[in-house]
Amino acid sequence: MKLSSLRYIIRDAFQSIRRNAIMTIASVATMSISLLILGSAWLLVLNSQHMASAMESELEINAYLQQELTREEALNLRRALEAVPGVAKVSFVSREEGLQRLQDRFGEETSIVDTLGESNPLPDMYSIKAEIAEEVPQIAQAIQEVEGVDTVRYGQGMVEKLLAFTQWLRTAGIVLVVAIGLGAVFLIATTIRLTVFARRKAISIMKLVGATDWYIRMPFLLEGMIIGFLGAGLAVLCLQLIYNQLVQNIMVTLNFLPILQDESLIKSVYKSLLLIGTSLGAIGSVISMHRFLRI
Amino acid sequence: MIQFFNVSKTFYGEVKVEALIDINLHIKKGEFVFLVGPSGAGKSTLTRLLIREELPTKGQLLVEDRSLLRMKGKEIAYYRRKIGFVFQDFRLLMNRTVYENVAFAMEAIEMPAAEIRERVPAILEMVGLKDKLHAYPHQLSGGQQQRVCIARAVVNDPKIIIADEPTGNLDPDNSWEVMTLFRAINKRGTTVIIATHDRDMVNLMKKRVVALSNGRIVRDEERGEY
Repeated sequence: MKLSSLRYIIRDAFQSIRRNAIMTIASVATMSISLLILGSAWLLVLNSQHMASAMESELEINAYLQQELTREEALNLRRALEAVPGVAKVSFVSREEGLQRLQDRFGEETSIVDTLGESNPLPDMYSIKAEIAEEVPQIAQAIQEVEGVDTVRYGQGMVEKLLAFTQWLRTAGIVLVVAIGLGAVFLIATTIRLTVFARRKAISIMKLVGATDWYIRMPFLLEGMIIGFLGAGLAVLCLQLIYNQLVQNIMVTLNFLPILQDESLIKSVYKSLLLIGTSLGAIGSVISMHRFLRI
Repeated sequence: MIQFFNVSKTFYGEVKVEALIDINLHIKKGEFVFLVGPSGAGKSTLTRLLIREELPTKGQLLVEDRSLLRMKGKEIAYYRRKIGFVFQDFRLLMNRTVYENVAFAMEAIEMPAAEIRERVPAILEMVGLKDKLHAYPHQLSGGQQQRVCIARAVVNDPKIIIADEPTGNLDPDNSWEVMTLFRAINKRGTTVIIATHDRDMVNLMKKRVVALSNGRIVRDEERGEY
């Protein structure tokens, strides 16, 4: 492609953006609204997944040891527990510590130590974290088999429900983002088809005077990319504003909610939206033109 | 230069239309040919075959000894650069000036900017519009618009000019202006093919006349009449 041709193409793209100002504004608005919805859904999904992970990371398996074990035997069990596949972290809680924790939970008013006297009914125990939350039930079962372990508790019943819920949350999130993404693609494609349709006469003249298909496509491609980038930029700007505001408000009023604040992850969402917008604009233009190039 | 060998064109839509049937036609370089006949006789279809907008259903069509049937993609684009097409409805870009409309055809085939700046005003002077360079099409009369369309068709110096009802939307005075222009272009050696049902014009011009009726050639005369 010659340099002068490149100049015509760039000039044509900008001229068309300017001369079809209303169409351009409409396309940019459509693009940015679609991407704003997509971006919101995306951040919502990332947050719910973050919440799911946070809930899952709280999961613990408590392995209570048999009362007859000596302290030494109890401490030696650590190695056996660490050897169970899928176990991430094992920490020992002695019966004394256990009692202290119980006391802490009841508060100052009632002294458990006084009530119980000298006898501590609690066994020594290990608190165990799994590498993968989903495996908690199986790991618990394996730990039950370890010699010296009396009972295993991990919130049986609750955990399975929680895991089913977080799993559902993840799938639903992906489905939601994909569905909204497809909707955005459709909306953007329709808008671009309108802009191309408005210029079908110019395309047919170019075809008949012998312009090559790529030469005809280029200004549309460029225009699509510019519109896509502008729309996405606008969407990202709005999203950033709304999300930051939301995070601030939630941190004050609902501070127990684990809000996603991983800057680099959120930035990568914004970058992806810009990339998606720009490439949708480009691809949409080329595809919409196809029909008009067949002269 | 242009050779139709037993060319037929059938459109298969809701109803089958045989637009052209067994056409044999030879047009030499530098000729001036009128295609005449009533609406639906096949004149437009014939011109559309020549600009490779449609393909023949049967037969062979050669232009400068090259078959139009085997061309594809880029070849079609380069072939069309040899042809200037003039439309009945002018098909000018309404949001571009006269100058830009003509320059558009040169830019589309990637001509250098310096050549465009030189050639466009020269061509517009030839068609008598040198004082309308920066007017928009809606500010021009029908005849002037058609002359812009002709300027656009000849600006890339094509070997063949094809016009489909170029005077169909014009009054007699403007029609005559446009025809004179075609004759001048033909005098420079360009082959000119005009589809028309403008009886008076054809009779005045005394050129070769190919008459079509129901998709067949019914008459072909040198210096003929409608």
